Amino acid sequence: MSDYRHFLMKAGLYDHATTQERFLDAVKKNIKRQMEGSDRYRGILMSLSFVPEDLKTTDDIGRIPPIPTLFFKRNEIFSVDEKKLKIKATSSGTTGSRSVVGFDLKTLYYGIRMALKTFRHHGILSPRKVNYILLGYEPSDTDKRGAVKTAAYTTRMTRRSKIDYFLRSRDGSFVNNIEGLIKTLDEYSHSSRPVRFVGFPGFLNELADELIKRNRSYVFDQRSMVLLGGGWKDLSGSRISSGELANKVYRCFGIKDDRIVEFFSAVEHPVAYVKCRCGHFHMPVCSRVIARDKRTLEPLGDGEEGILNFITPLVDSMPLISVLTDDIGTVFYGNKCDCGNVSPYFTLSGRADIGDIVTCSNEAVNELKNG
Amino acid sequence: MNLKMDNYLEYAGLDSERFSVFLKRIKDSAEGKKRIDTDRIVRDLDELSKRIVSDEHRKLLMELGLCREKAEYELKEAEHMLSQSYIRGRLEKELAPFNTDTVREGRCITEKVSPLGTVFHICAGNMDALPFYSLMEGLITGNINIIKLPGGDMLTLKLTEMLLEIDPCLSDMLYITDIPSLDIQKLKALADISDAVVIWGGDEAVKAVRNMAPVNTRIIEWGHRMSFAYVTSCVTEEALRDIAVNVCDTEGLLCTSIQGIYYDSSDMEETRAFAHRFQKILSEVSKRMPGRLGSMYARGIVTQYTYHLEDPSGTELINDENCSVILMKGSMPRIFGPRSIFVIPLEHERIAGSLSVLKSYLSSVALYCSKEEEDGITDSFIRVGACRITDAQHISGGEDGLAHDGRYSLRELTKIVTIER
Repeated sequence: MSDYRHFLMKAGLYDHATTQERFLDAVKKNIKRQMEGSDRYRGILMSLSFVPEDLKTTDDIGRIPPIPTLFFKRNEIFSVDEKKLKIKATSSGTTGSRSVVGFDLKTLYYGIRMALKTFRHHGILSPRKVNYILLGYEPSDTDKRGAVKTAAYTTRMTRRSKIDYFLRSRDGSFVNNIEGLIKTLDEYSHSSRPVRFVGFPGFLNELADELIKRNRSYVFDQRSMVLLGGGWKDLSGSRISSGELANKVYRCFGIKDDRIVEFFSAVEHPVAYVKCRCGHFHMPVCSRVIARDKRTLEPLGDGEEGILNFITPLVDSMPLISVLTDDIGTVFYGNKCDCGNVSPYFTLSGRADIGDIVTCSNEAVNELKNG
Repeated sequence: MNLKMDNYLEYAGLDSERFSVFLKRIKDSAEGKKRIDTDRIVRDLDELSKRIVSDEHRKLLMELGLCREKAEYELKEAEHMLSQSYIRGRLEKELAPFNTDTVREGRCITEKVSPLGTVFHICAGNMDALPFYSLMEGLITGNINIIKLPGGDMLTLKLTEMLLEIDPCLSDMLYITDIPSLDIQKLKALADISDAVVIWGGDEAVKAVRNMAPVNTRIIEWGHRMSFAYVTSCVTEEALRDIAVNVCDTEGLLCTSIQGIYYDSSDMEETRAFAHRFQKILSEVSKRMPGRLGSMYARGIVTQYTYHLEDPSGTELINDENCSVILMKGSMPRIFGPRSIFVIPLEHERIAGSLSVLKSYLSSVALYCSKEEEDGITDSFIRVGACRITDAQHISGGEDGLAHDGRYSLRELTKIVTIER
């Protein structure tokens, strides 16, 4: 009997119309699988009086109790024997605790197949050799952060020639490598190979600002690309709009805005969403997104802003079926997007976390817990 | 907004040459320092306090991302904390008693409060402009100050820029940088040239600084703390209203914000009735005091929901659209977020035994009990680490001349020098 996720490999990336029933079936099977594999998850669903049979149509997926990312930051919960986990990764929070996720072989298989499908659809896969600037952390064997792994994985979408990192690993910490990057960019500019910038927008902005300050610019091969994901990290104070960043990118590297791809993903929800030219993140066939009321957590209707809840049956090894993130956004199921993609989409408008304000008291209690 | 000062070392694009120049300037200031009279610094800060309370600055703060109410609140606080009367009051209370002249066996003995030298302030980001207040304390104690800003703190930069406009001579006493915590090498170089490091942060941050700073460097730690109320059945409606006002006014953001209520009982039913009684009051007050934190309330809801998933039978949510009260079993406090507070039953005889683990983390307790019980309960809370026992009206007020977390901060930034002639 084929795996309940198999249909995802056959369907078009955004083909919701013909996959609704199979998606619902996969969701129900995934929930049952999680309930069998994890007593804790089963206990949670029972305490909230939920059974998979409550899901009659895809409109009912809002009834699946969402598990907040905070829960995964505070608890490790797997529904397969940990020995079966082929990869473990953590979220990349700059402070406090991090979520730990683990994926078994089949989940990795389907996850990678979906990612390849997404990258192929958006023209990111290429057989060409490319020089990379990784706008993030230099990977190390001990660094388990999902963002580091994902960025490294993204450089495999082409053949890789050379690579340099915004933050270089040194003596157990990271040092800013802007000087080194500028030398590397000089070197890349003498090559005919395309250049790809991959990683956090805040780091790209900082690099561009430094080049502008030094009155330097490059014109890289027209097949060069910028692939952005993640937040602004410690640089949130200098956050600028996508348009402003695109202008800087063109000025510094000669890369046009249609070669800039913005992603959304989360370590707790390993699905890649690509922002279209209208600024919308369209949902691929393997996921649905719901906005929930900020005070009651009840599902909201089309066009209402709330906390985003992501649903996917992709992951077998832990209950990531319905994840409530810290992201605030709006979901549109009925709107027609001018980019031509007819699938539903969401927009992002902020985060529900405490952001810059990490309260004393919160930290004190965390330390009490850890101590 | 683009703030630039000669004394500001921006991390973006920082190379080793610029960093060496920055270090050298600080060392030169320390060696060739001409002492600026404290009176003059106090007057400069007073002038700053007058300049900031204008519409223009409120707008500026709003441009920096603060909502209107928060901008007004911050300006009012800043005006008070930078005013001549406030600062002079602190100097008088915290330092003046140590400036003495005595004659012993025919010898004149002068004891005098002196600066430590160069102080490196590593600041947390939980309170707007906290780094500037830390800088202010360093300045009025006569120290040269290096400030490491938390990410995105434009307010401190703006205030510093204004202070230097008022008195450019202060430029030899203050240096600011946004070098991030992960660049240990540069932070260590700054700690190496400092006589003291002030660290605002949690256990991890303190540990990191202890590892980084030379052994002969004084480390002044201001760790994370929390506060709550303790009430017995005799608590009045008015007192509960004061607690609710503190919850809504401070939004749980301060280490002195009331995060929950311990109720003197062992009976869950009685405590549940109290929780419902308090939730009604909190809801009324919350309606009267509209929130200013936007999506942070959502965080509170998600936190409550998470704790409920973790222990469905250990927490009970009593809420409406304005606020939440979470009735909990066990004795450990939990922080849920703005306008979401815990209620936990805890008999007063069990305070010392149950809350002793709070020792380094407890700040203040708002206490409501009968006169007869007051001394005993106060003593129990002092034993578990409370630095202040007060009421809900005063718990979060930065009252003139009171110690912070059990210590006087200006004393931490100085040493007493004895001169015998």
